[in-house]
Amino acid sequence: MKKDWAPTHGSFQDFLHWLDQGVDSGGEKYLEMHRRLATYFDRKNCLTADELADETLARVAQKLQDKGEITELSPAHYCYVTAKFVFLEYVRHAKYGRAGLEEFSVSGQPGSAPIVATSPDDRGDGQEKLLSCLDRCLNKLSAADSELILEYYQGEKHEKIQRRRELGVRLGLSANALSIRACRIRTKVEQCVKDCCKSG
Amino acid sequence: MPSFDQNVFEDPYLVRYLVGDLSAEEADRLDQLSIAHDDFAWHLREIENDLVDSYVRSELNGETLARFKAFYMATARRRQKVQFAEGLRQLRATNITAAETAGKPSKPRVRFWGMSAPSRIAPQLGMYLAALVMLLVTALLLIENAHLRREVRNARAQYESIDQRARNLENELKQQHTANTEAQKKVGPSDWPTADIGQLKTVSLLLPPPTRGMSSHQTVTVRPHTDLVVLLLTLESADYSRYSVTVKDPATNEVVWQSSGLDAGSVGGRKVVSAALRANLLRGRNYIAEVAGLPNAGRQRIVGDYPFHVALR
Repeated sequence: MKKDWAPTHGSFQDFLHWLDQGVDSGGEKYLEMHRRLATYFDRKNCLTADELADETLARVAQKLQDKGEITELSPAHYCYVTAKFVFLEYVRHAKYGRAGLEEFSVSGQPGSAPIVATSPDDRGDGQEKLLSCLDRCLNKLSAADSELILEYYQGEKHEKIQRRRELGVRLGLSANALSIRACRIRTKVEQCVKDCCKSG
Repeated sequence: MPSFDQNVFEDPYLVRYLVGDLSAEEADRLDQLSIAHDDFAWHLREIENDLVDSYVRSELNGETLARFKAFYMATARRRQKVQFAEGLRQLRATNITAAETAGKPSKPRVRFWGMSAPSRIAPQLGMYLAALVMLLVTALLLIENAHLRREVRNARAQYESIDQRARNLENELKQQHTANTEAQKKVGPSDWPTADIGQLKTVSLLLPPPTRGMSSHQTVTVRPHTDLVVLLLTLESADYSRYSVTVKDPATNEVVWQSSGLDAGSVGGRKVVSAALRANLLRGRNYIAEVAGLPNAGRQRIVGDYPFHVALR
């Protein structure tokens, strides 16, 4: 793993352009791919999912710079293949504890279940802070978006389905488009809350 | 473009993927789609959001609930998603309460945080509503705080009772040992371990009744010299005279240990079933203690799953 490699401004722009596949997303494709990769590593119970996603994207960017172009696979598929290799290396380093382990900041085996015990008092404080951050992050949304996210995720089972159908009709969106829009807003708010809670 | 068939879009299949219930091969296929296929990635994210929302609304049950607790809650990142969903649920509940208090329909037309009320509402009314909502939120937080403090006090009282209960168990074990020794004398040598049960090192773990709200696995620390792990499983209600306990590995569903009929005891005023198993049966991982009631006639009935984590030191 070439940890000392860093993309130049030009190579990073090329990488963004390659991910966009000809349609300028303003960096959104990069961020979305990072989210997907981090979620992939997290599903594998890796403890440093965000760092592994960074590592994957850095490797793909480096490969693109070295080769000039990558045409055998789509960008997303190529990222997945690279992520698989990064994961296998992570497992190997974590398993045998060899040199290079610190590169991953591993504190446990992938696939294990790290348990963080919290006392009821801690949980109360944390929840209070989370609510405060959630309030702050929802305030940053437009009125339409904050109303949409609250309404979309409201209700149980059949009521929820009916509510979403009505919401789609009201906004003139198909079920699929509405679902993607709600997911995007929720992802944005989740990230904002995460940053807010981390910042103290 | 990766290949896939239609059933990968089916919700129950995706839920099984999210709670780690698919084979490695199937999971690999969905891993690939979750990164390389846009429609699938968004659909999966929606299913995950709905799954987490269902959990915080206590709508999950059975195997899905058990796997959610054992697998999904295993990483900090996913626990954060659950906390976020819980926060969102609380906000919606507060929003509805505030709207109803203000004599409005329950649809969230007015944001409860009151920072940007719709322009058709006069600013003064908006401020009054905001103040009212702040009061309500404060009251709710105070009530919740008092509730949490009461829970802490109860938990402390229960833990103080554990020592007494553990001592009682040790006495019971000594009596059992005496009986065994007598029996051995009668029937001659056997392959039963020769360690003195009276000298056994025990560690106990009190587990509260299963809940579907925000809870983390409790951890029991097993040290090299620990002989016996005593699980004190608090019952919601004592509907049966006898119970059986089965300890399983949720990852493989393998039964690690199973008791015979056990009587319910009492700890801190709560009905408790005690199960003592050899420490060397356990590894450093998550387990589920499944408690089943044994009726006088008919089949046993599962009354609760108690997830816990074993840490080896």
